[in-house]
Amino acid sequence: MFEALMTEMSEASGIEENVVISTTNSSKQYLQSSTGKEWTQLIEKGLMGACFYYNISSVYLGTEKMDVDNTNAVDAEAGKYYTTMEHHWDEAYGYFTVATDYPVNGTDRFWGKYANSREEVLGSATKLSEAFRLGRQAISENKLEVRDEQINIIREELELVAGGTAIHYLNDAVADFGDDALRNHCLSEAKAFILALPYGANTSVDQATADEILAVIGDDFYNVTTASLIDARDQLASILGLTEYAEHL
Amino acid sequence: MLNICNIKLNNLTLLVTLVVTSFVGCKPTENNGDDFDRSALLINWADNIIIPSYESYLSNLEILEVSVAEFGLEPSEENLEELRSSLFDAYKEWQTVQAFEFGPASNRALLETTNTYPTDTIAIVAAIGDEAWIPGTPSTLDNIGFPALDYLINGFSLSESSPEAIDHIERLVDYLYVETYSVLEAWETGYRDEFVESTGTEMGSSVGEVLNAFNHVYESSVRHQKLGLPSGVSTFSQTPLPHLVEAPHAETWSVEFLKSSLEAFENIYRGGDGLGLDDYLISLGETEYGAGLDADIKVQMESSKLALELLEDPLATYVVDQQLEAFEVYTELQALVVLWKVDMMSSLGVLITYQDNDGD
Repeated sequence: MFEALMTEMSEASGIEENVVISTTNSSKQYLQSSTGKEWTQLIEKGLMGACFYYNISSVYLGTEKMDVDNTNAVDAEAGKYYTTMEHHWDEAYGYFTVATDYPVNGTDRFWGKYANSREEVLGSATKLSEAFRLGRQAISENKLEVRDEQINIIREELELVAGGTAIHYLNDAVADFGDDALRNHCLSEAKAFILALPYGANTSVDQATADEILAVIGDDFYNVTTASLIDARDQLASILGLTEYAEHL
Repeated sequence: MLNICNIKLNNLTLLVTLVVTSFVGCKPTENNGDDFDRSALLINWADNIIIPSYESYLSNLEILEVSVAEFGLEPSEENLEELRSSLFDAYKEWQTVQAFEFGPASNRALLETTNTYPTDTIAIVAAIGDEAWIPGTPSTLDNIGFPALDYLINGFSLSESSPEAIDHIERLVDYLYVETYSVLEAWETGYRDEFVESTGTEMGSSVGEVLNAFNHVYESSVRHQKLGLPSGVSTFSQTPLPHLVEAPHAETWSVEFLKSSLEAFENIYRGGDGLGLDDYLISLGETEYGAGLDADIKVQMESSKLALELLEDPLATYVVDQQLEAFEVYTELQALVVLWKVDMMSSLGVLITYQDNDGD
């Protein structure tokens, strides 16, 4: 899927009609398809879902990687004093952010960035950083029930970050409805975050549900209506329990 | 020499002192308006201004629907007159709700779907009889709403009307009705309560939303679009662009709509007969940024309204023949931007969160 997107994008670049310039802010211009798809967003945010989010929620915090040794250091002689379980937990954290003092730092890109953007309304950055720290401490103290509680919190909160960010971009698309470049940009972001949702463990939005919501938006971003975008937003918000925040995200 | 230097230095010190003092004057520290009953202000806006204005606008759209239907049944000169008069009433009533572009209205991009002009007459003609036509998609924004109706209803004589064109007029009016209905419905089923309960002044609060929409719509849709653009004052070459006036096909409506717009903004400012922004500013005390600013705004509103009396329809002719006068009127409209957007927002401690993208 990503390979196809990259091929399409490389074929499209350099062709003037694929560059869509904002009518309200001419410094903003994007490479987009004839139906308004912005490859950069679909690839970057798509990989954030299919790779990073999947690795955190489903792989490293999953049973297989968490049901491992928590007694012996991996290789004390080589300076690796952590256990395999601790190591897997740190892997998950590393897919979230690379900053050890998040959210002081590490708010500049990928999930660390978007969790921080949802901080004001959903408190995502705080909840996630606390859960990651508490979980790591619980592993060190071998309190696996506490660890499992934190795994659930991380999975839930990451899902809300992905869904909340999609809702945020749907709101922005309505706000910039008449500006093709900005609207398509926001809808491409929204689409990629919606497509990320099925990659979470215990997701509330499986692939079929994600497809249904995307169908409400429609495949041609030049052919959407405010009513359909708000409808998609409200459906997603309702599934995620974010209805009361939908307008403020 | 030395003396002169000293005087200069003293002057500089005085200047610095003055600047510092006036900055302090802009930022109310002792009274930030927290004594003011914002809840009562919001209730007054919602129940006595916003919802009734939408109701009145919606009933004007209903009358317009009836006029279209009657003209469809019997395309007579008399029914065409009636249709034009209903269109005028609804279009004029729209001016009283345009400022409420937040919450339910911005969820529907009501400003853009209702009144985007100049309208694309070629696209309008192409849409006539097209069964696959869907109003409200981005590509239709410049060929639906009142500007399209102005073209189809005012731009043609009776003998030029066709059943297909009348059907399309009906679809255009229906769309305006449906969108407005959904906005009013949202206000009446939950948003009103949410609105009056959000009594802070932070970003996203009701006061913040109202004031941002108030300033943004006044600045871009009223001052800039209705007079700035057609008069040429906003462009580098200052060439008048008469085809950019509102309702160009009616010829005699543009000035009237500008006047109704300003009255609507004044009404929001004064809060009708109840609490308004004037009372809010007065509550800050007998200071330059409080009651003094309110007095300045009221003087300027009178002066702006008086200036609008100078304009004459057709505005498209006026901006060409009397461009300098049009510029003077524009200056009077611009003066309100400074008072409302810069001074009032600073006094009330509300942040401007929109971007000014109109090129000035």
